[in-house]
Amino acid sequence: MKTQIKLTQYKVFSLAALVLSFAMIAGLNTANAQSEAAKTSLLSNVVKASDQTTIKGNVRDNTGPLPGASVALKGTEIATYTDKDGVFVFPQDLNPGDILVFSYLGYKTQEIVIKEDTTVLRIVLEEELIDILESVQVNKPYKSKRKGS
Amino acid sequence: MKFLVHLLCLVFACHVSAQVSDFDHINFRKADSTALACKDEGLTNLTGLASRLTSNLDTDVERFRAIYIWVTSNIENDYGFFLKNKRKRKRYKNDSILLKNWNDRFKKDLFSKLLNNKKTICTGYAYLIKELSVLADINCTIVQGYAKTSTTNLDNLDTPNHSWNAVQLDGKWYLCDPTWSSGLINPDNNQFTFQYNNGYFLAEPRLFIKNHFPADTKWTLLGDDAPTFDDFLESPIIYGKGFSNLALHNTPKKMHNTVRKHETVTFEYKLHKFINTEDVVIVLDRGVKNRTIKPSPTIDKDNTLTIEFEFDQTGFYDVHLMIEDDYISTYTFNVKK
Repeated sequence: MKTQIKLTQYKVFSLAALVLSFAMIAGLNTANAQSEAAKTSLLSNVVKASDQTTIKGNVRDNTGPLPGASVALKGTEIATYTDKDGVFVFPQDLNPGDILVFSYLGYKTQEIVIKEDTTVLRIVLEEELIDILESVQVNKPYKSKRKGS
Repeated sequence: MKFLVHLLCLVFACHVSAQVSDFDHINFRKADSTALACKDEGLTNLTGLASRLTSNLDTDVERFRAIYIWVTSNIENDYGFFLKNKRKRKRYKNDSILLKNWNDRFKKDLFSKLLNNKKTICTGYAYLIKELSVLADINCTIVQGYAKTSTTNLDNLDTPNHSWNAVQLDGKWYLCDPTWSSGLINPDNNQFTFQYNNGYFLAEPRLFIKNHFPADTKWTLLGDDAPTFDDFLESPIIYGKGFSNLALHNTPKKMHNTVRKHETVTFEYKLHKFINTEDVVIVLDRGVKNRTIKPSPTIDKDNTLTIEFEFDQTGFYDVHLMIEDDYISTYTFNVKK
C-alpha cells in the first residue's frame, strides 16, 4: 500500500517534469494563463537534482494548502512545519533512502522515500475517514428501572 | 530439537488467546518511565514524539507500552465537548447538508483541541495510539464498534458508539481500549479524572468481548468462538475494576437471570492475582435497600474464584460483585418461589 503511494507520487512527478521540459524545448508557449501559472509555480520550486539534496515542497488537502503539517525525518526528531501557504523547506540536506514523514492530526500519515533526483515534494494528505464516537467509563453502579420507584 | 521446541511453542500459542500475560517476562518499568519523561511533550511533531517514546526500547511490546502509557496519562477526555456534538447531531438529524457541515467543522475542532489542549474523545485516543504506533513501525488499527457500560441504554445501541485499538505484536493481534484506560467521567458534572486502568491494556479477548463488540467481527480475535451481538447484549456488566481484577468472567453467563429460592447460583471468575477472600462481597439491591453479604468464596491454585450462592427470599435483585469496595460486575436476579 505504502509502496504504491510512493510509486504513484514518483510517477506523477516524473511525468510532470517530462511534460514541462517538453513544453520548454518545443517552445510551445501557450497563451493560456492557467498553464502559464502552473508552469511558473513548478519552475519556482524545481531545484537542480545533481548538486542539491535540499528538499522543499508543499502539503495540501483536497480543499487547499495545509499550514502547520509536520514534515519529519523518520527515526529522528528532526522536523519542520509547513507555513501558512502549506510550504516547507526541510532544515537538513537529505540522502537517497531517507524517509520523510508527513503528518497532521486528523489526516493519514504519508511516508516518502527520498530518491536521488527528489528535490520538490507535493503532498496531498488524505483525511482520516473516521466517525466521531464516544463512550466513557463512569464509576456508577447499574440500577434497574423499577415500577413505582 | 530446537525446531521441535519452536513447533510446540507455535502449536501451544495458537490455542492460547492473546493477552497481557504473554509478556509476563517483560518488565514495563523502562517503557513506563520513558513515557513519564515525555510528559510535557506536545503533539505538533508526532514523528518526533514517537521517536522519543520508542527509540530507547528494545521490543515492540515495550515500544507500544510507552505509547499507550503516554497517551492514556497525557490526553484528557473531553466529555462535555462530545455531548455538544450529540446535541447538534440530533438537531440536524433531518438535514443532511447541515449535518455534514457540522460534522466537518466538529472534526476540525476535535483535532485542533487535541493538538492545542491535549483533550479529546475516544476516537481521538484510538487515532493517536494508531498514529504513534505506525510511526514506530508497529502495526496498529482503530476498531469501531459497540461498547456497553453500566449507563449504556441498550435499546439505543443500533449504531457503533465507541473506538478502540487492535495492535500486532510478535505476529499476534491484541486488543486495548485507551479511552477506558485513561480515567473516569464523573456522571454528575461530566468532569474527567485521570486514573490509569491497566485492565484494558492487551486485554483478554474473552473478557473484552463482554463490553466491546466490534462492527467487524474479525476484531473479536475469537475466530469461530466469537459470540453473537445478542450474546454481547445479554452479557453481564463488567466495570473498569472488573478488568483490573479479573482475567476471565465465567459465570453467570447472562446479565438477567431467573432462579428459584434456595437454588444454587455459581459465580465463577479467574483472577489476575491472588486476593483476600475477606475482600469479596455481594451486594443485593432490591430497589429501596441494599443487603451486603460476605459469601465465603473459594480461590483455588490457578486463581479461580468461586462463590456458591443461594437466595433465601423471593424478589427482583440487582446483584453486584465487589472486591475491596470496588464494583466488579452486575447481574439481575428474579428469584421465584
